[in-house]
Amino acid sequence: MSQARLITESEESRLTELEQGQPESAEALQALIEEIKTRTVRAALDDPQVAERLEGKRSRVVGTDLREEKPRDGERIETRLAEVGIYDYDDNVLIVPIIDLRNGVVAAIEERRGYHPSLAAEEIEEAKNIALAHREFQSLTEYSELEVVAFPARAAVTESHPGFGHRCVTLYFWTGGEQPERVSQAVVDLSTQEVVPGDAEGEPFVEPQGLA
Amino acid sequence: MPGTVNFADWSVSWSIPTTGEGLVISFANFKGTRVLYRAGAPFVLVPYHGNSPTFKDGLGHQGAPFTPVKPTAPNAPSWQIPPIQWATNDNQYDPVANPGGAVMVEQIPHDLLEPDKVVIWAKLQCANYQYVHRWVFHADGAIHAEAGLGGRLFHFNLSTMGHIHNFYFRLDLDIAGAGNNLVQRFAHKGNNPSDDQWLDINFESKETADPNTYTKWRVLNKAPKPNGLNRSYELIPGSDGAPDGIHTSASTYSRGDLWVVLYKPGAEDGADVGVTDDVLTTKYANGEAANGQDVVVWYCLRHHHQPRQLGEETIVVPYEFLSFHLEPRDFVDGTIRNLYATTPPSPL
Repeated sequence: MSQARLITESEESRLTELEQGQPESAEALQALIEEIKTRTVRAALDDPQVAERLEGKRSRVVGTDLREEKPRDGERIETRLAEVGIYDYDDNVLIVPIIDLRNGVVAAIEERRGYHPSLAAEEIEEAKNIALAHREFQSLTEYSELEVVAFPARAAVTESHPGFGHRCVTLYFWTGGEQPERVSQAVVDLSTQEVVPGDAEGEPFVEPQGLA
Repeated sequence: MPGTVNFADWSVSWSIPTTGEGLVISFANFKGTRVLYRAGAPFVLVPYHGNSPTFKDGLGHQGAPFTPVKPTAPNAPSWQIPPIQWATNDNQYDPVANPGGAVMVEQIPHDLLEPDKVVIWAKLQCANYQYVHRWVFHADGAIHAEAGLGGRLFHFNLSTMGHIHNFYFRLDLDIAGAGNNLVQRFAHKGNNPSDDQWLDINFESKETADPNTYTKWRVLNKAPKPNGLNRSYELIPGSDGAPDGIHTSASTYSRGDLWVVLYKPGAEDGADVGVTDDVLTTKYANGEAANGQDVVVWYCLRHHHQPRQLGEETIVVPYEFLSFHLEPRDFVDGTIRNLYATTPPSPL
């Protein structure tokens, strides 16, 4: 594990400055945050303990949060931490290396079962490809423009659903253009890499009883 | 991270973590003095009549996470939100500078009735629902914490469509610094002299509000100011109902109004709460000594939703807001002047 700082003093100053300059500074702030996250993820994946935990597992980095922790005894300023969320699809658990950014070390590795963080772009792409390869959704490939909205599916938290406890994705397919139309939906279980029933999502296409 | 706003004598930061817990407020300082270290409403328990379904929306175990959309997204269920309306970052929304932003920050100048205020809010999709987390920081020191309801009714079965929204707020109040806290419960016991009392809560515990005694709570810093008084913030409840299962034999999901727990770094964030709040009572508030420690309070803001499925809510639930207040008590040493745009400006 690298012992080098993962955030420099000048970056910390810059972050503070950009945090207070919103909304004009939002783009620059986001770029700096992404830069810090990228090197943090690299450091996390290079850590021997993290590597050992993930060895042989189908896993993917799904998100990184930067946060502060209250000063401990004898310290005057907050500890700057990053939590790197790595989803283990084989064991269906979120592995979270917690990185001390100033010291460049993995302070802890937590396993958080039942967490359903936001979807990574790679996950959305994989889910989309799984759905479009399914016979029920193959016709969607005929659209010249096809956009996808995706988020963690309620199926993953519905005990009666086959995707319960898994990494499940709800996909809504929209046509492109200035007046997009929703044309279909699918639920994909990324843990089993298959399309699963969508009946846990709140009967989204059923109109209210008694209405036209 | 990622944003901070300075207005109305407040400095407040916000973020929306990737964990699915929604809008988080942090480092809220009033007149340069710390009030809140971190606050948010990470999950909501929603039991329906007939005890099925019972959702935990938001963070963690059995929770469908909150997914932010742009402030300009329509009041609609998730499947009707067009691709362009999903937020791409948790910075301040601006149609030109940051059109993908999820967080609206409004700096509203004082008027004849209200002081300057800064309002921070975000819309959060959760399947058929659309929730709004909104925080209002007033120049008189008050904080209004609000949860908004929108989106589509889950189903339209007349006998079972009623449900209760139990919003759980985690409030890490660091009054003028972390630690050395005491939580007290207010009781108006009658109209005799000295019948208003503040009662110490010395151990981690669950609390239930009693409307007959005007229950409210406060978190204070035990180090007195030079005038001998203690800085504190009161929590004024805002629920329209009591915890369930107390007065009837009905199933219980939400058993308390407030929990006093010790601050534990990176833990007890609500992720391990299931579809009941038992974890708060049995695991978080497990009786440890709290007097003089760094304390966190959980508050449940509760609302019964009786749908108007053939009236006002056939398409969506028009935005409806619930709120509770955090009010300063002896946080400053006198009435703050010039709050209102009266003639002349007042208080004089």
